[in-house]
Amino acid sequence: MSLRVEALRVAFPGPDGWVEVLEDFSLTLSPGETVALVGESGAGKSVFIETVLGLLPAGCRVSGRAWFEGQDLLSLNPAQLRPWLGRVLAWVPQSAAQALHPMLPLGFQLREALEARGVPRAEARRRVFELLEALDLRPAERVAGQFPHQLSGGMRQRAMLVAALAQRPRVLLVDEPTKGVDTERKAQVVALLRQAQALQPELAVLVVTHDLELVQAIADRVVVLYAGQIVEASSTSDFFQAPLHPFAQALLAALPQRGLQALPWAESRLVQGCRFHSRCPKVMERCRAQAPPLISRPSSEVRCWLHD
Amino acid sequence: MSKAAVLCALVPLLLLGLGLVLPKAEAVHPPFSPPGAGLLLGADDIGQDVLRVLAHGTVTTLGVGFAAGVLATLIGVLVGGSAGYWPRLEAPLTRLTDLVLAFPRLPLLILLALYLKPNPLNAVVILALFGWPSTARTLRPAVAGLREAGYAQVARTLGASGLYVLFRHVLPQITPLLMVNLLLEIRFALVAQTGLAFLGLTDPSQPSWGLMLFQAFQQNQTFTTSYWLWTVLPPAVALTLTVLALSLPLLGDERRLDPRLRREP
Repeated sequence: MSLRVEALRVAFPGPDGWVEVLEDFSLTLSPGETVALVGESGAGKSVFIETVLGLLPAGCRVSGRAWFEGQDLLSLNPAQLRPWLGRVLAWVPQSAAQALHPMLPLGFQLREALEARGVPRAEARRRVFELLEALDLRPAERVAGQFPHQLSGGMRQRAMLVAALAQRPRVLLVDEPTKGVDTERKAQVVALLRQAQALQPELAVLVVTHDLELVQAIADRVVVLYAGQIVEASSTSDFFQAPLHPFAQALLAALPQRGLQALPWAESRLVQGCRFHSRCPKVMERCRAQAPPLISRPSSEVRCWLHD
Repeated sequence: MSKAAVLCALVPLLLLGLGLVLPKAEAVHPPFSPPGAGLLLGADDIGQDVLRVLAHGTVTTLGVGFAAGVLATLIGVLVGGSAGYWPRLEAPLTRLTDLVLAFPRLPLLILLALYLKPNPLNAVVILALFGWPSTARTLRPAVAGLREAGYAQVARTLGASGLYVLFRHVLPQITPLLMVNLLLEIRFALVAQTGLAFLGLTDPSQPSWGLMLFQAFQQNQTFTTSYWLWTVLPPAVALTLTVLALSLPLLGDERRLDPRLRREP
């Protein structure tokens, strides 16, 4: 019942040949679990979501498998994938403001996917109203009659969660829920994702973010992505107490409460050796010559020669 | 701007109403009689009341024009919408649009009008077949831009098909553009229909503004006497006012929406 991604590789066509955006990406999302996918901009976090949802632009090269209930979702064509979208995989996009149709009342938009799939109107209404109430969009009757521009940013975001949850999906893919959200609102987002799982305990949630506060608040596991590769995967507590990979350590050192130490910028897509070696404070001779594999440790995985 | 449009529209609307209630014109008056009491617009060469002919002509002209305009817009929406939404259809449909646009419209219209039966239904179809490319051309980029809009993407990830997203989410968003195109299509169809009738290519028993002009121009004394005042002028004025009524709102919108045309307060 879990989403199991195996050896996913995604490449975009670039001016000098293929650019590998995700390499050897494997990830399992079990029911009821919240996994955070963190990394810098351009590390390939959103590309993962887009790959699974079939949103990648034409002309990309994708290999690997994404199993769900014995079906490889990546082998399906768009028409075959459609029944899985919404009902199994649901997406909460980055910008709720753009994700709602400006000319349709909210209630209609939220019911739409259900009704289009044959749920009777009364039943669809009931489900949407229940979710609206549960997510504190009250009174549901009034909110449902409003247009997106009449709602606040936070309300729109919650509405997007209603849209995603209305079809009772199994896997929720949340893209940067705290991007451009101020500190006070972050608590709301955290509460929102917790509520989502309280409403549906079997729901697996994947949160793509570079907000470590959010990670600490909601995630069970953390997967760190660097330049298209997983460099560390461990439980949230391990990650915050003793990060293994130098990039993960640098990420934590950059948190305000730990001294805001910025990582020097450098070309990240190095061809030879470890991708992180030009920025790594603990770089060794070996790192320049040889790319490390993902090394299994007792409770985590790390891609670094330090832990060989 | 829109007040002027309403004023202009009053005349064709009044004529349309008259055309729907007045009985058909009959040749009972002395031919060529000038306007006077009981004969507001005089009589034509065979003694028909010009006002009645004009009113019945309005029904034909506006009917054909509006029907053809609506049909052309529909075809344009289908072709332009598909070309904008599905990248695979973009090249073939754009080529098709360019092809139809490249045909010299009037000669081809004349040719078709000569070969097909000159009834109003055929006129509607022919005019629509030549009118749709402009709508398709304006819609394609608008749809292509909205195809990647956030809500369209979300709808697709919630399991909506392409057709569903196109018709339920993308097209409603460009209703203003559709309305403008509808007016333009109707305007084109009206003028083209009048042109065909003026060339004598429509059914001579079906009165229309163009046919009235055609028949008036057949008379030798039309422009040597004052006969043109009540046979040429009324349909010409009616056509002009109708086209103005359709164009003025567009002009007003353009003034309102285009910052370069906006007058400083």
